[in-house]
Amino acid sequence: MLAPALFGSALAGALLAAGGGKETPIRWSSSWPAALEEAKARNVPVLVIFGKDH
Amino acid sequence: MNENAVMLTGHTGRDHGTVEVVDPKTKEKTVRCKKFITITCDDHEKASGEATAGGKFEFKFLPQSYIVDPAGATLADLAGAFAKKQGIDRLKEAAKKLGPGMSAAAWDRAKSALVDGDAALSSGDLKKALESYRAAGREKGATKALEEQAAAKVSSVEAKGLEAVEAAKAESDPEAAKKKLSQIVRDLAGTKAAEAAQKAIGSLG
Repeated sequence: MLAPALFGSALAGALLAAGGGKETPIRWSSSWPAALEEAKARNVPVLVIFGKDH
Repeated sequence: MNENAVMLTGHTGRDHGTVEVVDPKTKEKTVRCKKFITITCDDHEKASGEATAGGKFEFKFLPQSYIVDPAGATLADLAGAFAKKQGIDRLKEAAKKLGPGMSAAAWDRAKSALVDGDAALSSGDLKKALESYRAAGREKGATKALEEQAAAKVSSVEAKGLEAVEAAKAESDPEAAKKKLSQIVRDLAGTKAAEAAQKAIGSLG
């Protein structure tokens, strides 16, 4: 759970702040195919985070 | 975050609890994962299997993250919980390799326009379908992939328009035919269907 918690708060906020935007909740893609489809359409990278409950 | 990248979590475990979310537009209620609020626990568990299928990613310890390109090829390997700056730098490097991308807000508008276009096409409203598809293709920062998708959909409207032209030409009453053809010229301006309709009007005299 460590990585999602990190990305879900601190890193996401930092990235948005660096881009001059305001922080908004992360919108998680619903599946691997959907993530790639959106990435292709937008020409942006996909950040894939693997984690598990402890 | 979503402005810069697509986010996917392949997370195993279902101890997050759930929360009921109400769609502001449709008022439809759905149950979501309390931790990853835009998806369900089924989604993040399934994504874990999908993303690792076929040995795409091989790792021994969690957490483990990757930055991949739109084809799924790994651009960066981020083991464990890494520092913020490292993550930011890696994402910037990945974005630089890919070139200009489309913002999430613009993509949402384009996607919504495509959905509206599909609905209009299904209901036979070719004018609205054409406007919606063109709007999607003209969205700020539209990528080549989106432009091609929008163009393909415009072609499908054009095909329906050409069918409408043939149907109008088959009218027994020339005035009724002209009226229908004129409508097509107005509604589908800039398409082959409008050109065909204009030509047909000329033939009717």
